[in-house]
Amino acid sequence: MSETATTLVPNPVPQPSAQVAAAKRQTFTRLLMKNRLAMLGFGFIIIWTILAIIAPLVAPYGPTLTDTASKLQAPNAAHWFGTDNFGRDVLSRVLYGARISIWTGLIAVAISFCIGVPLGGIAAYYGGRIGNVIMRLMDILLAFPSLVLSMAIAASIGAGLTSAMIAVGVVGIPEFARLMYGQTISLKEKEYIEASRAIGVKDKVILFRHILPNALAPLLVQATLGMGFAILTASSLSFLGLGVKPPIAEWGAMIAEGREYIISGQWWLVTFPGLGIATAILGFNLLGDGLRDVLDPRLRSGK
Amino acid sequence: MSTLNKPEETLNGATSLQGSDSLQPTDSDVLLEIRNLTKHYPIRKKMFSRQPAGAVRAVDGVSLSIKRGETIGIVGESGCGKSTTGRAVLRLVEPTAGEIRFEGTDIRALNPEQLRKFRTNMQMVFQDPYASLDPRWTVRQILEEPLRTHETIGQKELEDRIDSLMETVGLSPYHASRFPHEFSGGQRQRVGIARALALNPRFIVCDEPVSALDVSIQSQVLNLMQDLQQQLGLTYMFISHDLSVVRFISDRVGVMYLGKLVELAPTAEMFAEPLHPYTKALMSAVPQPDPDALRDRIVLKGDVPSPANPPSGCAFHTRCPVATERCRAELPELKTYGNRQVACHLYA
Repeated sequence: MSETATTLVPNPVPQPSAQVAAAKRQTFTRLLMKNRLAMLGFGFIIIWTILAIIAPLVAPYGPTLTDTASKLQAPNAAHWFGTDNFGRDVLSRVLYGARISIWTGLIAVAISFCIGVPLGGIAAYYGGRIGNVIMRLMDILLAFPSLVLSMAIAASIGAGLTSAMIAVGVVGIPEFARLMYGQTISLKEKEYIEASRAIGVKDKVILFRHILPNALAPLLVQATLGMGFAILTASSLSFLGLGVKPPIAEWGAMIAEGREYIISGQWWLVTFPGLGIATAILGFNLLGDGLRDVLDPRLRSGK
Repeated sequence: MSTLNKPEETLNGATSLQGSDSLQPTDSDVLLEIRNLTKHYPIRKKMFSRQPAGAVRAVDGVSLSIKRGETIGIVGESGCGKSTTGRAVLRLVEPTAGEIRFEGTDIRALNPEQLRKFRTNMQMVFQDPYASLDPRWTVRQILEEPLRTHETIGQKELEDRIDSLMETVGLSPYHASRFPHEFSGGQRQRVGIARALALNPRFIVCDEPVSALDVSIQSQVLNLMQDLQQQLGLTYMFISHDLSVVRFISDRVGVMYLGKLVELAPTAEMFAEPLHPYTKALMSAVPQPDPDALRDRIVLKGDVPSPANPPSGCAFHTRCPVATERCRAELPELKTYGNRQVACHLYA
């Protein structure tokens, strides 16, 4: 029975591993591509991202350029989306507004992710008192309606784009913490985590190199869905005057400024930034749902 | 086994007889001395009560000394605490009580950082080779982990070490860049063994290392483990529910029932003449290849009692065919008879 000493060749796997990995990635992309709604959402995101980046190149006017001679014009050849009460071009403002909204969403989600994920991971991995304290704090954050909480935070820091980002980011922390908590609870009992502990690997290495990569799929879904939520909440804050300061073009603030004119018939002031918000959020939500369907079929809603 | 002893170590044996309860190694052959190892899991019934409503006695006072270079098999039904014993010895689960001395070092007294460093001495091979390797890591990364954790070595040496590790366990280094899912169960278990060997440990707890494998692969892996033991002078604690596997690989066998060690004996004697009634029942369940052989199949009545509420006296008395009044009242101690130990009033 000493032939075991001879080198065994693994199962004849026809392709080398790079190709296997590529094949796996292919099925992932193919599944996502087949999801038409997700692709529609992805299309919205791509379009808004590109427009946001090239806004200075494509916007016909400056976003804060006033021209009182041509104020409150309905959409026409010179101003496709019309002009507002200061004669500013609504199309240009919507395009510049995309920059702020997407940037706010990215930063806010980054804040939620970078704080929520470590908190949830630590709470679940160490458990006990630390875990309890962290998760009960998260419960407290969750107990407030998110808009009310973000208003309170934004108001206490002082109105401005940065405080809106922070407020929206903080409100999103518990979602990530809870998700990571659940993932970590189930992953830390896995034998490969125990094996790493038996080797003497440091806890933080286990958390970041074993648990986080294996928990990433649902976190990515949450991050995508969170982008939509962040854009909406940030716009709401601006609408309420707690976000960006007035001359800056931002969708929520534009709606706030234009809302008095709905009654007098200037519908374009609120419609175009409203469509901007709607399509951007729709894009992130559709993509997030699609990602979830592909990455984790168990979470699929009963469709 | 004793070929591994250095002469100065035998001198220690002489000074070690002060006080019967002291855990000075009584024998220089002893690598690991386990005394009264206990692991209780508290049961909390009420939501806000601090006082636990009871405890599951997963491991309940196991004492054992493991000699250098031997393989000690631990057998028992599922839920008897054999896996918990293995994990508690390595402090992968924190024991509730007891002492574990590894060449005199009290493992339970080590602080987390000392324990982390001490882990180079003792490793574990896991039951399920499908769950014990991180699915997102390549075999190379998996094998690098122990080396990177405890040693600072250059990339070139690291690769050489991994190549030789893979060859040691009978894998081709060519496949190091593959992921675990691209290997068969037996090959994965070889990776698990290579990972355990990476730090040159002296003691390895093998928790049912072959029970997830096909029978044909089992023998290959068992042979590999035996070869490695001879080459590297390893000491194994081999946990299994498969008596034939334990018989093949072990020098001594310990039988566990409801968290307690009920019998401990050299393999040949244990299988030739089991003493404890539970061991007898266990042995009689092993299929015999000879259809004409006379068999006294002892079929135990009832189920294993709950370890949260073990029976009084001898935990086995509820199912024991020869139980007496005394067994119900009095807990039998593990007593030594010649070179074997048994915990049963029959032999008192």
